[in-house]
Amino acid sequence: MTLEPRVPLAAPLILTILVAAVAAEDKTVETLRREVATKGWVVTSIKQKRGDWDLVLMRPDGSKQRKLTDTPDWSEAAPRWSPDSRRLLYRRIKAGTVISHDRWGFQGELVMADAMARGGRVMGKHPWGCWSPDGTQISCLSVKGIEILDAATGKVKRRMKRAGYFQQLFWSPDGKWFCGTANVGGELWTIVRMDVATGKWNVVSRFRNCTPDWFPDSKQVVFSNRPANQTGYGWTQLWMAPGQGGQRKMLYGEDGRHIYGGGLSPDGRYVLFTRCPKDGGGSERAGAPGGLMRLADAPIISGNSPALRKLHPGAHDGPVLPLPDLWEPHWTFTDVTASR
Amino acid sequence: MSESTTPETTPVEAPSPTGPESGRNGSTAARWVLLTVVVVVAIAVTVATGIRSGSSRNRPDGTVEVPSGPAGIQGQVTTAGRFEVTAKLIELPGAFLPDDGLYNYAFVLKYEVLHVHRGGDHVGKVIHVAHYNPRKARSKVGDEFYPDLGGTVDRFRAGDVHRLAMEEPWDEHYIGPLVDRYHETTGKRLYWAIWSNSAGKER
Repeated sequence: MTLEPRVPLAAPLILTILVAAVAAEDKTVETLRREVATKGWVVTSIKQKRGDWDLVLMRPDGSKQRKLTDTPDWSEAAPRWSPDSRRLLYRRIKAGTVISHDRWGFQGELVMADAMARGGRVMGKHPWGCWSPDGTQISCLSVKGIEILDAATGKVKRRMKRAGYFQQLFWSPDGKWFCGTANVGGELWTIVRMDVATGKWNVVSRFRNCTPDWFPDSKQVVFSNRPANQTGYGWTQLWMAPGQGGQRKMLYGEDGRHIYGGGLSPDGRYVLFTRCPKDGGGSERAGAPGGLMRLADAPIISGNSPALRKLHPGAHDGPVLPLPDLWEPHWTFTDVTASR
Repeated sequence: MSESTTPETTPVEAPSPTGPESGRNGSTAARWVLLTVVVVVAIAVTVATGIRSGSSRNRPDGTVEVPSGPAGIQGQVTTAGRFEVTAKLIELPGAFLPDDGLYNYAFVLKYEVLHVHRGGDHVGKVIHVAHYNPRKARSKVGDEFYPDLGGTVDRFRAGDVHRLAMEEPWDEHYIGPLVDRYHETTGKRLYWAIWSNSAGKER
């Protein structure tokens, strides 16, 4: 008896299984693409071949891209629509400046424009400028503390101590909280939530976290985290945690990629992120491949990632919708292209 | 196996001036006397130089003496910030974080103050000072975010004496990650180092 005949029989079988698996994955990604393609718009920064960054509008699936700015002498970075999606805040940074993925809020100047980035008004430095829920105020973070400005006049209406916050301060959609990255005791890179009214704060996530942002419900925070339980330098993953602290949960991880720029869809069902092969969000180079996934599919682990899969045995393989190389995307369900 | 940095040498036996030939040959004896004098003088000069060098900072009890001359006066050390001290770096509390060019941070170091040049009585005997990106030479530490930093300190070593221009409170001058391995020391005043010059080493 010989086994030889089995080999030619097995090869097509394995090939068929592989093709079927890839096709199935393609199908789930395609389903996700169709699901989000018409759910509003995403604005993001995309690096141009000439070296600067411009603001680009696209559908959440990456289609229908169009430039909102086209300024060779300036980079436009980190755009955010106002809560009513009628205006846009972004930073204007001199072209040629290397944009820091975690200190960009200190670079350049804050600009307020309409939702399509028209009629931009340079407001001044205003580090980490971020919309209040009603769009009438802007919070800023600097060595002076947390400042709340009148969006129309730029005048400081209120000043608070910044506790340990040192970057990435964002105001919650319900207006009650700030989240940001802070020094707490001897622990740097801690995500902290602060009560806007009282200044009292609590830890959301300790140890090597950054780039936090709010879920639309203002109850949970999405952030990047590079856990200690990895060999060597490790890889940064996308996590979420309750604002009051407590059990945190990995959303997306991929050995070989550092995941940054987590941004929720307005309904909190999807999350955007970037997958950078080198640490950083890609702003220091030419951006990083974007991705979009459903929260309902979390946690997702891509690539081989054997160690990560051991830690999260129940993780899914996808689907993740690939997006172009970008940095700091922001999502609205409003049709900002319509004349309003 | 690591290699020794000290080359091996074969000991050379010196001819004895009290050998059997010394009484019979006067010129040989004179040469030996001259050689002995030269050796003794050379040793004396070496020892004296060493003592003088050490005495500029070290007392007999081993403590560090305040430099009396203009040690460490270069650049903006006499003008930057409101505080200026000459101080000995007591220790390095663990390793600095990697300088990967991506993340920047400040690191808290503990000093024994030897002399207060500016800032008056408010400066304590022991101070904590936050240094930005401590792996970098101070001459290269200034950047887009903190362009006013500088100095002659190339690297931080326990026992080194620095002349420091500082500000306080630190968090009104620096906003960024802070590695503070003295965070459990309550009530400490933490300064922000603006200019850091080398002012000598502990012997």
